[in-house]
Amino acid sequence: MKKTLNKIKTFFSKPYNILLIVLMVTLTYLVILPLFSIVGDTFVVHASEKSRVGQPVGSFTLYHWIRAFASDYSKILIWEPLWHSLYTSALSCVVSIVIGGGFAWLVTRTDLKWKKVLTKLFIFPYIMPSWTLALAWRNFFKNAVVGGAPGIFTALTGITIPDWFAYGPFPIIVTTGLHYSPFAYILIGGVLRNMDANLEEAAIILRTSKARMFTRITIPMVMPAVMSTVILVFSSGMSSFAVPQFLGLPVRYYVLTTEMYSTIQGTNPGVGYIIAILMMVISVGIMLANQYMIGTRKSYATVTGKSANISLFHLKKARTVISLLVTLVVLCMSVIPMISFVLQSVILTDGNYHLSNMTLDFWIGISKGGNDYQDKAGILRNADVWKTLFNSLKLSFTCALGAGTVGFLAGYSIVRRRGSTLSRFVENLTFIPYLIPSMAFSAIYLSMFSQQRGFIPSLYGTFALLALIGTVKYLPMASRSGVNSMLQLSPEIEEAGVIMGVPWWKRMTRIIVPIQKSTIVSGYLLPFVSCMRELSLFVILVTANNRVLTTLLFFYDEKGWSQYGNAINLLIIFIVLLVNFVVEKLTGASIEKGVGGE
Amino acid sequence: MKKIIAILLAVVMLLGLCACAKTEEPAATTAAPAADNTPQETAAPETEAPAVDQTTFEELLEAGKKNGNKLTIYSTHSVAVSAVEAFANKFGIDINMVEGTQIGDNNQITQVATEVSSGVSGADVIFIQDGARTVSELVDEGYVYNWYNQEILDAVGADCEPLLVWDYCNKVFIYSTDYVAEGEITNIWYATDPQYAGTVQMKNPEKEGVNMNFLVMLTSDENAAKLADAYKAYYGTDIVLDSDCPNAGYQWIKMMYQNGAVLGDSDGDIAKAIGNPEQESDTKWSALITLNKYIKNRKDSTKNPGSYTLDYVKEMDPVAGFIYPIYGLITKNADNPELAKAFLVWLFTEEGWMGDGTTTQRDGSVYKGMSGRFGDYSGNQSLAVAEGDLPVTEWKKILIQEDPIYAAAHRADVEDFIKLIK
Repeated sequence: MKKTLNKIKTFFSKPYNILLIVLMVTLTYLVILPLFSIVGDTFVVHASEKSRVGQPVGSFTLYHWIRAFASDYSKILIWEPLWHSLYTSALSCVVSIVIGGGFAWLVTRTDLKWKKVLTKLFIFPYIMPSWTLALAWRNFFKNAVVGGAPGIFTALTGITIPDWFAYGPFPIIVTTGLHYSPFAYILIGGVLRNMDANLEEAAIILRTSKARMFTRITIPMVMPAVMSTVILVFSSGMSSFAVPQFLGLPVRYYVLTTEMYSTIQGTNPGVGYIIAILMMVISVGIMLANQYMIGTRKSYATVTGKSANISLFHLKKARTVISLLVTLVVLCMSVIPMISFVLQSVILTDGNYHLSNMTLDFWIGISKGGNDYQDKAGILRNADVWKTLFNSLKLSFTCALGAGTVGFLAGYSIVRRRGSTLSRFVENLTFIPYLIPSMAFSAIYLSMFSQQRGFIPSLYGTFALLALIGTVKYLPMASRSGVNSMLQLSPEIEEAGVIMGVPWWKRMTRIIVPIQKSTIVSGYLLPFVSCMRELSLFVILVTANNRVLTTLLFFYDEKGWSQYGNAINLLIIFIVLLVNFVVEKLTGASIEKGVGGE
Repeated sequence: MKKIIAILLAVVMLLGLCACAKTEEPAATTAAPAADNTPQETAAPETEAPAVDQTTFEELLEAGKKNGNKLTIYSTHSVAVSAVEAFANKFGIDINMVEGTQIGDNNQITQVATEVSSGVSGADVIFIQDGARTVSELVDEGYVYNWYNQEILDAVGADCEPLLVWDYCNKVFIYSTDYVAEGEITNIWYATDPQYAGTVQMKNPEKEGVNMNFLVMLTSDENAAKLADAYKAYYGTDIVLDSDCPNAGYQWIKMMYQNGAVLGDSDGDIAKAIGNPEQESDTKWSALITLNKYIKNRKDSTKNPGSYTLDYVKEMDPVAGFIYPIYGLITKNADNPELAKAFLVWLFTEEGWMGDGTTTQRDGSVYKGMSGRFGDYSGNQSLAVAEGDLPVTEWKKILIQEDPIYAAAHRADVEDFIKLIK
């Protein structure tokens, strides 16, 4: 008896054990319980489904499951969107790897010009909101299929854009692929940069042809990074909402997320929750594949340190041509979209890009007191926009603080107790939010926290609810990077402090935190930036009094106030870039370093 | 991790069970209560008279001020937001004691239902469109209720029931004057005609419920009969229904969708799209959108961006579009129901609708309300409409009106029908 008591006492004398227990309890409540809640939601009648199901609200029904999988509607509700999701995500991976991997190879292994500027610009899409390229695509390649003025491209060149190019799967694949190609660049580039030159030098000595070297050495070396990219891009593509919403809906091309949004917002949320569960199943599948691959990746650990600088591949005569071509592609991904937003935010009549048709009213005009959009104050003078901006910053800051801190502590305690069941359980708990599609997650939180739960009052419409969901949703980013960096830190360093009798908080603040500074800052930066540009996580939860910039953008877009929408989009991008720049200058941490976390 | 997998497995198993069970799909049409006969007649003022609330505006205003709680409104229409600010300034209420927020109908339904059911303080009065969902999700559930007093009844009459109409909006067929001749479009079946394939636009009915309600109204027996006649007038033969179409209403919806109807995100965008002078194609664009958005973007509009070439269809067989109300309803957990009611009464007065020329809104500009706005008509039909616009009684003759009770009962049928045809 005393022995057990002592055991418990010893257990709780370790701060990381206490941390693990606390994390286990809270995360079970915030992550596992919602999973049960959403399953429950697929078996009850919601208010909007009364007349459809013919039963009172809240009663048990199998209607949703039957409708989703065994009715005439299954094809349109589930199978078609599922196929569209898989198809566009898979091909987006190809685009990402070709563009991002190709760029990585050019930058690391050839004498490409202007590398420094190009790499900075290439990262741009990753920092920007995911819909940026989709919006830009629409601004550029809009065609007559939905009427209106043709896009900027046709206005400039007179070439008419075919329908398949303007809307539907093709632009979704291209914009998603381009948006995530920085993933491929960062992951594949990292391998190429650190690759052991001995391998290639050996090949050169043996007079191996360049082509053979590429297929036999380079490709196998980057294969694990390629697979990681595939997993990241594929799962991001599966859960992407804004892109198919902008580019798919005009031609009624639905994917799982847009179908889920339309059912949850419409009159059959039950089916929407089933789609959410389906998406989670797919995510789990992807994650298992990822774990399997990471398991095998260990055998690839041939990187033993840099023995020498790898000789660069000389592009020779093609150097200038290729450099210019790459520059063009990079500009199309980074600067040109910005130009389109600027243009769209100043023109009065769509499609007319003459100077006489431009105004700064949508930016700095004063309110004319009416209720039409041209009467509203420009966004920089509009009190609502400022209030929303402040709310966005406050929310991003809170979520970053929450996710970053909890993630770091989780990383610390998970690594210290590595191998134990408790540690593994908590590690998986911190990762689950990543598997739940944002929109499904917010739908669950909406139903869970809109009523009093024990000592927690109803959080509906409060800032606290947004902060809570943001913190939990971005926890995986921070905890991943926390775990990875703690793994690199030998426990002896801390143990030295333990022997000296240094208390825990002092060990943390004086030893661990200073060493891990850059990762910790990344752990804060990534949630901050993600939150700043988050739409699908908040779009259902935000009430009119705590709107954030992204939902304001959607609000304007839905009203057809495209000038304000484009202006707000620029504002969001500007803030994100500014924050990223400042943090990078101050601490050396940057978004790129945290990519592995997402 | 194992736990999740276990859960997922359980789900898959249940799924299998469902598939095996293959129970009869619950009949969606076993009519919601009181669905079939529209209670319009019961709303006749004479029979209701004894039950009508006799409290006056002054009494409500006094009581509301004494109550002291904040007056919060949600509205799908921006003017109601300005109006509550003007209301405060007009009657000496601290401007910080009123707050108006514009929220779209879908979000508003979720928000009001959640707030009232969980006891969170939110709106006192809501202004909302989409009668079908309002009835089934807010009124039937007891979250909001219909209220009017003698003053409102005197001003509004029959439109106090089943839900009090604050504002009527209309959507009519408009067309591009560059490519469609005046008088070319005269029959609603044109939208199904191959020569207009891919040229007819409307706001996505799945996105904005009033459009869906319009399609639902087309399938009523009465309207379907009119559509059948119009079909004959257009195509010269009797209509032959497809096996999945119970009546001419469904047939029209199906043919319209299959003729490549373009479903947009916003009426403003649609107006700009079809009337854009920059477009090169000679497509015969037309669309079913709010008259208000049409006016704002029309070329001869005095407003700046209005440089699009548009006109609207004045006559059409059997209907030229639809008219839908924005209802004004009180929430069950209103903090200041007295002030909310006083505000409602005031909205039906001339100065509540159009301003008095001096009262200001929060940002200091003068409250103009609906004055000069096309396509907005007060439930109080004695109030003047914008110069050049028709009174609502005229519009009602050529447009289909949303019946929230009927639409609530049949909405799911039509939504499901559309799912399968598109």
